[in-house]
Amino acid sequence: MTDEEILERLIHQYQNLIYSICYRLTGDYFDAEDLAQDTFLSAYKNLSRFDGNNERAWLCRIATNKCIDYLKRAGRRSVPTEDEYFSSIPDSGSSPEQTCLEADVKRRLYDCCCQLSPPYREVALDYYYHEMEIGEIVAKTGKNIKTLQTQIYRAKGMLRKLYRKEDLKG
Amino acid sequence: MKQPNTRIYIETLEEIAGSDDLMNAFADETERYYYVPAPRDFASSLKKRSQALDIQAVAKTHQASRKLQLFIYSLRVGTAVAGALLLLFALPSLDRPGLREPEHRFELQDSLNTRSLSDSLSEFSYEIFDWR
Repeated sequence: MTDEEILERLIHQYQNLIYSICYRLTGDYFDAEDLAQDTFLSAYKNLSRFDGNNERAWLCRIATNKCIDYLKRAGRRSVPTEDEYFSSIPDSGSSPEQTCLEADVKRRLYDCCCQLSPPYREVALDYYYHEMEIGEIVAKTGKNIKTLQTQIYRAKGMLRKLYRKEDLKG
Repeated sequence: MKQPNTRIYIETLEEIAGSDDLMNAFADETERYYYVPAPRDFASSLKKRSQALDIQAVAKTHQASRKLQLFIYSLRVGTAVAGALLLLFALPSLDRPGLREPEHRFELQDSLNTRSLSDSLSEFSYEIFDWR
């Protein structure tokens, strides 16, 4: 198996877990995405040094260390958690907490997208909230693809700032 | 969403990261209670980033480093062996003042052969205490 194939397998198998860890520790949709991607890239660069034991723990460790560095750079000493709350809930097998958390993430993203001014609001809602493909947005809006890509990139920068503002508000 | 009532400190995270068992438990807890699916284009944009020259350069360097380390080690061992052989065969043929000890040794050996050890010690003790 080539390193590229290994990377693809790791992404397919662990992307949601790694993203969840990064989001849990940062609370920021886009920073979590960057950190999660950095995690996989670090793993890819260091595949030859990995001894093959406990792949899941190895990846999660990389993600956690990246988040620790992120927290230190941000001057934060801790992250909120609801361990005590969730530990009091009997294990039901299904996870209404997961559904609640996902809905909260989406709601927060939606609120931030709505704070942008046109045309970035529509682009952000279509691309980040509704998760439409660029081709679909082009077909819907008739915009030039390059223009659209630029707007998506700018919208992402604006959304990052909004997320950070919210983090500062607490 | 319910307000969090506790916090994880960086020191705790560092401890978790230091142990496979704790790390797996943290991952299990995250999957169970903090699961958030990755953004839709996560995998595709990540694959694109992995093709960047700087990433590929580091990845290939690390792959090559194991072979390179073996090569460097072999070079060192080979150089050491060659140096030892050179010293072994080349030095006796060199005419250097500092290397005339074997002749001195032979001279000393001759003198020891002609006088007994006790005579030599006696001579030595007389000289030290100046009894003569």
